[in-house]
Amino acid sequence: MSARHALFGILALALTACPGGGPEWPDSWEISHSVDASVGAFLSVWGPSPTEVYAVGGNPDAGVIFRFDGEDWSRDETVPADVPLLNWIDGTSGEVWVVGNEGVALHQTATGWERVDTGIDAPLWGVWGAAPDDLWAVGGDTAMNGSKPRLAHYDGVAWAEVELPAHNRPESTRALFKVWGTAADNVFAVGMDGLILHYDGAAWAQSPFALTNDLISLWGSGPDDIVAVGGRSNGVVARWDGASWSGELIGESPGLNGVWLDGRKRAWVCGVRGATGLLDPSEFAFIPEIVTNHVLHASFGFDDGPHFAVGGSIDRNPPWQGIIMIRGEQP
Amino acid sequence: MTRRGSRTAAPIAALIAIAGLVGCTGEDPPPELAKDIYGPMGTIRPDATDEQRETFTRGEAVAKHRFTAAEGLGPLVNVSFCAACHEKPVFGGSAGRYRDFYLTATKLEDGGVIAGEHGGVLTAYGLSGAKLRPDLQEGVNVITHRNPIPFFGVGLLAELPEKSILKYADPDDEDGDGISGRPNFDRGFVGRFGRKAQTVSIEGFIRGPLNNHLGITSDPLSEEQKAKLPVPSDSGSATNTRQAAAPDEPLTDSDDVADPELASEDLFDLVSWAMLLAAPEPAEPTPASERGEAVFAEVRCDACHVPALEGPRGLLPVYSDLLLHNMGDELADGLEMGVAKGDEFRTAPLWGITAVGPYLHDGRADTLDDAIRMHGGEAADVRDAYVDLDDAARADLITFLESLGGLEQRTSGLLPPDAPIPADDEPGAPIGLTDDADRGRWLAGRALFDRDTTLEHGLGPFFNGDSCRACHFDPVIGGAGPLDVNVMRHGTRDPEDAFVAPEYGTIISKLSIPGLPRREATSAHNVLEPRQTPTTLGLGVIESIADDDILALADPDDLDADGIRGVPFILGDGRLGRFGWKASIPSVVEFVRDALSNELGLTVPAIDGLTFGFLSDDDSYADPEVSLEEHDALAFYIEHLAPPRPNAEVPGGIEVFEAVGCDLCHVPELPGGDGPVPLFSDLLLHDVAANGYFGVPDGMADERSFRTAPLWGLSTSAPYMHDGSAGTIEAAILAHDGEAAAVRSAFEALSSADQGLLLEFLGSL
Repeated sequence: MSARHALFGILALALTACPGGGPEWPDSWEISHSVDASVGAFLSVWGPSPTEVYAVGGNPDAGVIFRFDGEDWSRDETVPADVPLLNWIDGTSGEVWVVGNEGVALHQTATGWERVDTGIDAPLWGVWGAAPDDLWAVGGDTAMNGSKPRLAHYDGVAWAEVELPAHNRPESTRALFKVWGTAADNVFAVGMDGLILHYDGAAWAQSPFALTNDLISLWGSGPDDIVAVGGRSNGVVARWDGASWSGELIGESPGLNGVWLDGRKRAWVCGVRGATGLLDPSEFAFIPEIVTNHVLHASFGFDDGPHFAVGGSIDRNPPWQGIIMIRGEQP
Repeated sequence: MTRRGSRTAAPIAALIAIAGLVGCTGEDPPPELAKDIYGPMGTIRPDATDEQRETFTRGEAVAKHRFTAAEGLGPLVNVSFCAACHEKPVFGGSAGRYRDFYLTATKLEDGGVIAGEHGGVLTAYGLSGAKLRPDLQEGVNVITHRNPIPFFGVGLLAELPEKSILKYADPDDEDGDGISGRPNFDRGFVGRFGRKAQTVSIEGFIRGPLNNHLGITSDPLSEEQKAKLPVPSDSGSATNTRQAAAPDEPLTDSDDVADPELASEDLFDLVSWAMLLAAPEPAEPTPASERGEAVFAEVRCDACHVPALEGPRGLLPVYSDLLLHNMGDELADGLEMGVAKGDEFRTAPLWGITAVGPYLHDGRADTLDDAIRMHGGEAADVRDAYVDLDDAARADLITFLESLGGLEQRTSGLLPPDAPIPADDEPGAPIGLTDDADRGRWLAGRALFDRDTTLEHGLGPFFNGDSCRACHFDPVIGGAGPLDVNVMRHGTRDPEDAFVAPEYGTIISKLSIPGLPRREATSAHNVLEPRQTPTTLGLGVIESIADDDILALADPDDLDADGIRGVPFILGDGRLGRFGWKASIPSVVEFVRDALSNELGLTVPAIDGLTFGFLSDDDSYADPEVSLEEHDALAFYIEHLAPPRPNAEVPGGIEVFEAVGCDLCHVPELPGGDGPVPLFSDLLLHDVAANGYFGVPDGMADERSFRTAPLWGLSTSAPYMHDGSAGTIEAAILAHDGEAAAVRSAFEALSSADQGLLLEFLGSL
């Protein structure tokens, strides 16, 4: 039984049953689905279509995947039983992958989710691929002294760890959080202390960035328009214009975790304190809108809607509550 | 961002009228000065409810509670209790330089700044397996001082609406007055606490330091608890979080104690206590203070030190805009917090300022006059205007600042002004004073013992304490010290097991004067040994014990074959040592000289026959930095401190003590000048260390030998053993080894009842 908010359930049903034809979505952020602490928080959301969207997360000891069919969310029971917290999902390679704590990687098959060994025991925080035989995963243990950021590549057969390139961040820079690209030879990874790495198809190298706040995630509309967000107490927005990164600390914004760019090159961001925002192209500043008292961790959407922001009580000790917010297109 | 608000140059008495002019809409009544918020520093706000008063009492107890490693203290530690850094002039305030600490960061080649680990806090001590003296993180190249910040009135600042702060923001100096002022932010809220206004909630401002300075982890308060705080701090609704409720995450650490280490009800009481601390009560105006107030406005101090901010209770005379200002290269610390840059600091509130020195973020200013003269950046013109004033006008301005609360509680150390001589039955009482002249000398010595040594006095450049009291305050001034004032000794154990002392001595000081990084141990220093601070109560009585009575107990070759030796420390000049963990110091006056030089960094006067202490150093202050008069007064005070008084007799205790064999070293009494001295020590060196132990030797006291610790006052002088590693008396007994292994085994073989009896007996001494 879905834990969907009862009142919104009625509203959502009315909105999705519009007699005009296709589904309509709420014109402000609403709760699409919420789960209690027995399930956990949602840390990532992605899908190939508005009727096939996945939200992944869980609690540290048990990962979960939920699927949205355009109306309802349901738990995917094919997730292996011993899977820990799942941190990110991506299907841009043409195949859907999920990564999580303890170096776990799940590959979606016709019959469900299959665990694939990565050879890494640290948390994997992000995954992205240019092709089914060309994926990257990033991670690192943020709390363990001596831990280094981790980079791993999947060649269609197996995962293999890749040596971290030289960078100018201190020894305490222990993790990369997300990876995203526009092509096999244009991939960026972002992480702690403002560390940004770039892969040109041959090698990884540091991409200079002046700010030193943690960067949590990134997305783009093309090779000359990529946005990374982060910060912990205060929001950070970084932009790649095809040649260099620039960034701003947005004091009025709580720290940001999630970003997704729509077809109009607008960045949908979300973060701490349930903050959401919509940044126009090339803009840094925005006015945050607080839509929940949970932390929002990831954004994703479709140009014609719906748009999602997912998160949970991850500013508390686990077990966590989870939340999936939804809204339609924003003018 | 709003344009910078009008800044009043008016005296407080006129604030009501001025604020009325600023805020009057024709409908709203002008704001009045807030009522029922003032009180002596450290007291609760007058408007507190009975329930809040109970919470306040409990919260103060939490602030004073000495955490132990078993309770979660550590692994990285600067202090063992909250009030350690918030004690001046009373609990809730600031602290002298002995509670300074270091913040660290790494500045990259491109200018980016990354805070060091552990919140950037460099700690002095490591527990629970951490290195005893934690190293500077690799790559750190920004090291800056911080002096603790007072908490008086912070609950009132938490209540301020953001608009009251933003009203004065002018980040681009649109009004062209040369003063900008911009807010810092914390999770999107306007910051208000901390030297850089980097924190928005009192809960956050307590939980962070608890973790960074004590290694005590905590969870955020629950919504239900936050709703009950004196400044309601619950979320209110899903999308309308109160600023005071800025969310924060659970904190964890790597010791073996389960997180959270602080119970949520204790955190609630602690946060409530801070929120309920009264605002410093301004003094009645005097002609001089009123003249000074006018000067304050005339030279434009009030451009940043805005006389009052409007809160829900009315105007708060905080004398700060709580905004960030560029304070210039000289004050810049290079740290970035939130949006604050390395040269930006929050305008310090001035209420109660006179009682909470030293001043500025790193305590570099001994006096208010120094602090004003050290202003730079945006405040340079104001500083210059102050400097250009005549002496009388500057004095009036200082008088005005002194009128902003706390003057009656101001003290040169921690003793309240005019603190009486303790009665004979009180700890810390004098002994052997014969007349008023003696009492005067004793009081003068106590004042020196308590006095915070300023930079002008010659403190440092490296030091462990800025006063004698800084380490000797348990349970009263002159007593012992908790583990957070342990002295760290170090050196190198070479391949041949010889100890090699660093060229600057075996003490590696905890602190340094502002602007100078602390001294770091190197990888070659493979021996670290903390030394707990023993009490000075009764040292004069111990001094009265004749050398022969001590030497009579010595048995360096264990000729009586009882397994207990007892080695006297004979100095090179033939004197018998009896003080210190290694018994290396022969007299009280030498103890004073040694401590003044090694712990405070002060030079002492040359006196025939005395060999301890440094006669000169390489700082810019004239030697000796301690005058002969001060030197003698300090020695007189300690020589005339009464020993700890025993509690009620514990029948049967001494019998168990002797049956176990404790008395073989802890000799119950020795003859003294005025009768038996029940110190429970033979004042000789023994090897009671565990197999393989290798510490720091001192003269003829090798790396394993320690003087038998006197046991009087044991119950109020924790922690125990030379390194403070034993949190309880029982743990101390169990830590005995070497010559004392048989005695420890005998203790372990006792019945539970007899063990309890022995512990009760020891606690009664």
